[in-house]
Amino acid sequence: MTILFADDSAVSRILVQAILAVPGHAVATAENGTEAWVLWQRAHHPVVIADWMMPGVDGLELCRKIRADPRGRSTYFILQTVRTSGTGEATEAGVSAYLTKPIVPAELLDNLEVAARVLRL
Amino acid sequence: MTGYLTRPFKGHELFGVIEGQPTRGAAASVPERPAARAPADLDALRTNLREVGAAAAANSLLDTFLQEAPECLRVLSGAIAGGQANQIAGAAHAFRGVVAMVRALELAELLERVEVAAERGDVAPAREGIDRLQDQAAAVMEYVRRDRERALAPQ
Repeated sequence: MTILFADDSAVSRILVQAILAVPGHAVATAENGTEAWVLWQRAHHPVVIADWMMPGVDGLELCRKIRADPRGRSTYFILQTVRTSGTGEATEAGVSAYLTKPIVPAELLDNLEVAARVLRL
Repeated sequence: MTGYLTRPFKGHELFGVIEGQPTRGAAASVPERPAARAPADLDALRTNLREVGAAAAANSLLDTFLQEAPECLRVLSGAIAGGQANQIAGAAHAFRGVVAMVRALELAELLERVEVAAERGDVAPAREGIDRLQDQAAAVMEYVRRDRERALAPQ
């Protein structure tokens, strides 16, 4: 799958890139939501993983922007966060799934298998 | 009983039960916290990476942590000195996300307390806890640095 990953933490980007490379996913990375939005408009990645709190356009705003685009209505959007509250707001924004930091690699790959199944529906 | 879900469950766990397949996340071992808790649980990080075949990523991740964490601490310390609650909350949140990656749970908990209080507009926990927070951050960074030095030392 082609996946867009957005997080302002370099540690997080390295971790997720390494995990996603194992099953052979193609990953585009962005350092913030603004950059992610620019990349998504060019390639319409079917799966987006974004941190909630980022400078500028945050994960929720990125999700709203993608959902507002007709090409983004079926995008599988995974929001990652260290937060354990506020998921109602995220669901309203159109988030498909959540990942809680610290990211557990196996959990991330499980989520992507679900994403692949949902996208095939 | 064909299967079970513990609440709150996640989407991939529900799919796993319906399809009769344990999810990788469920099967993944969760290493117990060490009795005398190290500043960062790097064994857990390595175990989690090894389980998905990404063990080689640990070293570059830790090297990047050693570059990123001091900057996060500098930004947070500056925010606390400035006394602006929203800036303290943002900086604590960003730092918490970084330290969580190396399983520095005690530091993550300290940062969470500072963040939650600052979100309410209360900067007192940040001001009162800055020394402990800086000490714990230094301990985590030193622990990771030593781990990397051991890994790079000739056998």
